[in-house]
Amino acid sequence: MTPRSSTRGQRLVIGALSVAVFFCALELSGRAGFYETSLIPLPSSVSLAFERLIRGPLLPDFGATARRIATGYFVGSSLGILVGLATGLLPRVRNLLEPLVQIGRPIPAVALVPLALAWFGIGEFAKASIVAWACFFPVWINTHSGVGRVPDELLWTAAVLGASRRRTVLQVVIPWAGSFILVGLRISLGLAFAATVVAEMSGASSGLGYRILVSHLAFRVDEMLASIIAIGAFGASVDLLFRTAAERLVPWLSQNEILRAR
Amino acid sequence: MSPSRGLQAIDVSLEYRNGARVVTALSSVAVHLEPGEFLAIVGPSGCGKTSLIRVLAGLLPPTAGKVLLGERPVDHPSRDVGVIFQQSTLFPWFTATGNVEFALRAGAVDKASRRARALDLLRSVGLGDFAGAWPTTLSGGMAQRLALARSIATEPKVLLLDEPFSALDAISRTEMHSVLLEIWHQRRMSLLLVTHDLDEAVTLADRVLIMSHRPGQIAREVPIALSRPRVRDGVRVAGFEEVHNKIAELATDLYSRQVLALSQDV
Repeated sequence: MTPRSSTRGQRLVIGALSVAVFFCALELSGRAGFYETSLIPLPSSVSLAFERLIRGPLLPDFGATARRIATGYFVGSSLGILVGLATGLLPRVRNLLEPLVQIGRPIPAVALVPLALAWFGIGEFAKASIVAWACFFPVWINTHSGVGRVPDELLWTAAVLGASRRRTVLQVVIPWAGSFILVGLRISLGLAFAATVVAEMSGASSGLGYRILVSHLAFRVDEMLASIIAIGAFGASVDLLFRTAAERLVPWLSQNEILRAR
Repeated sequence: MSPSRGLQAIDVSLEYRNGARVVTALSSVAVHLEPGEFLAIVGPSGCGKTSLIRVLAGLLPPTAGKVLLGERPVDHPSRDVGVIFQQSTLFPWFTATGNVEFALRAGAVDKASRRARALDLLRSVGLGDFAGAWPTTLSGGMAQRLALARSIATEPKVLLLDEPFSALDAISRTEMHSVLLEIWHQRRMSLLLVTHDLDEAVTLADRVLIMSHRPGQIAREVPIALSRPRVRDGVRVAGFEEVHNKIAELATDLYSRQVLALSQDV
């Protein structure tokens, strides 16, 4: 255990060092006039811009973005799981819905932004539906195929042990599909961020995407970069949170990682 | 055919389509498993042993013939006929206890006594200390012992074993043999073990049936009257080798009459 954790510590130190050296070099060469600092702002001015934004609109922007991601993600993923279970478990529903879903699947959410604006205006509903559209498909396809791929031996075992159809679905098929569903949920989480930012860049008056656009129009590259870093950090933290929650929720999948972390 | 209390396959044939070809997996197979009997079926790979298990368990309807448990036809899976498959079929999302409780649940017992019974069953296969373990953390031998505990939780009249020990190392396999014999001794259900390992068949069974190459048929029968345990501390009882050699000779003779090219499989 000790040698492994020490190499992990070393990796962390080396990583932090390389980042620090990169930004120091960037700062010094910028100050020495090696590049145009109005186009590529100094790291120090980006952090100043960040401070300014925090005292100003950053937190409300962050809140608006987080709300939109959460709403769209929740609606799209829930629908994805429900429709995926239905099309995966019930052949009739599959015949009915799969063609429709397959028609919608190749359409990127981003392409629907103008349409959503035309139909629903620039309100929250338009944004939520774009994000939900983006989240729905990965969750649906993973749920659908996960449910359909339960190994025969597991189904036979459940039958031999006298499990009813209901219990087989609840305690065998859905847990089996659980790992697939989690994969879909994680992919959708990333897509929810992307779709929200794009939706905020076209017809919004708040949010991190809106802030990036406004800084662009005002040619404040430092504020633009600060907002970009904020959304990146937000996305990374939510993904980490998701992974941690998933490991707790499905300990049988992450057995090895959990053992290693001890 | 007179009514009987055991499990009977009467003239069971099984055909399936493979593209345009019709493959005969089983051809007029007759097996009679007496109550409390330990029967082994040996045969080369691809002879239809696994198909036979699936038909006997009611998982696969035969093309012709029927399967009876007592006088009742076995045409769907039931808790009376248990199966242990070759590869582990433990539910990875349940702990060891959870896997056994899955089998107990249909029996409509309350939660506390279900937990207690599950622990009893785990103890009976030597997994008392692993009640909370996840299946992925168990060794191959422990996983199959857990599968055994789960199978006997339904108190089946017949337990079908489809080469359940073939993936285990020699030590775990020997251990499994004694666990299985002990369970059988306590509960006296009928056991049908399908295997390609003659040693295993002679170590365990009251009677050995030799299956022919495809289409699978029961070709020879050898009763084994040796007293148990037949292997103690690695030493085989007197007469073990004779029975083993007799089965090997019958099998070799049978397969050399059949397809020569496949006979090294035995």
